[in-house]
Amino acid sequence: MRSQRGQAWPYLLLGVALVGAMGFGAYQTRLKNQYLRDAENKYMAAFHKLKWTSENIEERTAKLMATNDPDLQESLLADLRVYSAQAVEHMSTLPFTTMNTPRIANFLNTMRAQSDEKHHKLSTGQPLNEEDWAQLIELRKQAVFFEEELSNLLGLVGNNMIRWQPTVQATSPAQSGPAATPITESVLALEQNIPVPPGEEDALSPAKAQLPRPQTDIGPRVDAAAAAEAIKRFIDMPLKGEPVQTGVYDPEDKLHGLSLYYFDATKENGLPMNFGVSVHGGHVIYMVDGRAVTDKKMKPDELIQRAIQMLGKWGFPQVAHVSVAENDGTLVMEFAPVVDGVAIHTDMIRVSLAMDNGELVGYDARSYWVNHHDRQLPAPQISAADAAARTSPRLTVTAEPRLALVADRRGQERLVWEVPGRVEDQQFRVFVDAADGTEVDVVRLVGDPAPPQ
Amino acid sequence: MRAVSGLEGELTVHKWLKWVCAAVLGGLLLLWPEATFDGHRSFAESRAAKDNLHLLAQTVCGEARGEPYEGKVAVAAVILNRTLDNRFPDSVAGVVYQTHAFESVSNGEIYKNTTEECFKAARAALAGWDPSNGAIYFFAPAKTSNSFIWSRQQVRTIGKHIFAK
Repeated sequence: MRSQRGQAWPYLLLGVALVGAMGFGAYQTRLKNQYLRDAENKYMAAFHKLKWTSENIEERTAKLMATNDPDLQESLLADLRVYSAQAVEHMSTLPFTTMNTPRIANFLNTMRAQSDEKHHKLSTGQPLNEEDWAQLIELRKQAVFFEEELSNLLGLVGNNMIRWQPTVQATSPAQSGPAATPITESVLALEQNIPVPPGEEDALSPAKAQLPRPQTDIGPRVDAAAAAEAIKRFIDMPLKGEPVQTGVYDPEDKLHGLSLYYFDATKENGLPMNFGVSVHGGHVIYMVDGRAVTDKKMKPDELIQRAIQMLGKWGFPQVAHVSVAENDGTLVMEFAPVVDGVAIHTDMIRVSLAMDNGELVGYDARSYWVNHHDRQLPAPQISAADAAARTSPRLTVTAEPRLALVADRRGQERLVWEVPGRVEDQQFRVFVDAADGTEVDVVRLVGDPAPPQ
Repeated sequence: MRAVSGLEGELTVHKWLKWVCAAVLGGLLLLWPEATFDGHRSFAESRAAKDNLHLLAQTVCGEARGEPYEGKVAVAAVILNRTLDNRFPDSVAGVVYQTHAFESVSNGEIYKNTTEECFKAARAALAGWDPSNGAIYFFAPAKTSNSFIWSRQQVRTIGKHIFAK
């Protein structure tokens, strides 16, 4: 009997395992199908939203052509700015990322930029001129075509005739060659046939990158050896061996673009540092050091003074301390060069010092070397006290305002009074135009994620 | 002799069956946690909603885990550069989860261990450092033959990545 039971249990176990495996397989298949449906729904939702925004863009441009009221025009342009940004968001959800569609990208990009610019014009009391209307008419033509083509595509995908999954696979970066699906063909047809404004016919080729180009001559061309010497002078600490050039970016020599040599250097303790040195003038543009800092032995005030001394040695004798933030054991400080008593924020220099021993672990003067030039600064038309009085009644001014040159959100340089203040426990800097007293910008010192400049 | 050999044969079959059962059960045990793991989506969404820094650091690790520190900062800077470019979504999450934009999102690599160095690199990029020279694309030349990405203007190479505008 014992022998018979011993012979039977493997069969029972195998049977149970087989039934279990079949159940598990069925569960997995159901799960997989659910995921596929979810993915399909995600793409369909994004496509319907894109279609809806395109309808709104088309409708708003149509109304814009029909109205003569500046307030209504302003409102319609504000809508267009929002809808064109939304269209980009919806496009990004669809599997078109790796498709070469510069005309579509240009259309949405231009729609957003132009509606923003013209909205600003109207909101500052300037009427739209003939050139503005010509641009809007061109955009309207593109908007109509864009909406019509999406309608045609909706006829395919909306009737459940085509699914998105093959297009997702066809446009995957792992795909070695072009693989056409009805969706990709429709999008490429839209790309090829969207009306292109006169002068923008070359948009099918990749857009030329906007190179950061210094606004003034930053010095004669230097070779890599001179750039390495510049690093050794800059870092002022013993290095293990010579800096090693790892690359060069030098596309615009004739135009004196911000061409860079890239170097790696090693400290005596073996830790690496990376540098970018300008090909013209041999200026150290940036320095990156990723060493871990665990102790915080030094105080911010001490490090700020140390950074100011370093900046003096690097050729920036007069700087205004603008901001400070602790970042992973380092103190990141921003300094604006001071010219005629005005802190030039557009030429900002960023210095990062380790809080354990005060060692330099980061430096970035790209803004300075790109934006710096001799400026004729106007005299302020309002006093510091007037500027402070024009800020919000909820803002408690915490220090004397100072003059600064900042870029507004349209990139225009404005002479302002920088008014430091506090609302509850939040610190702010309010920039009040020194000519007309309007608020140009408000910067919150704590809590804002710092965007790249 | 025949009976003995028959018994031996039966014993051999039973041994074989035991091994098959053990293998099937072992295989099921091995497959079970992987096949039923469905934590990626909710994990990603909660993290992305909670903190840009965390998502940025995750993406840096996913895309540039074996790269030098400068390459990690550059990858984070590319993501931030995209948020400032009208052709891309305005948020870090929008850029990171753009379909097919990042391989590490497609293959789940960004959900693996996020190291301190990735956080440090993400913080450096958020503080303004950009060794990518303003790039809005990067790619590993050994891994892609996509014509679109190769058509972009290349601005520098760091480690195994080419950065382009």
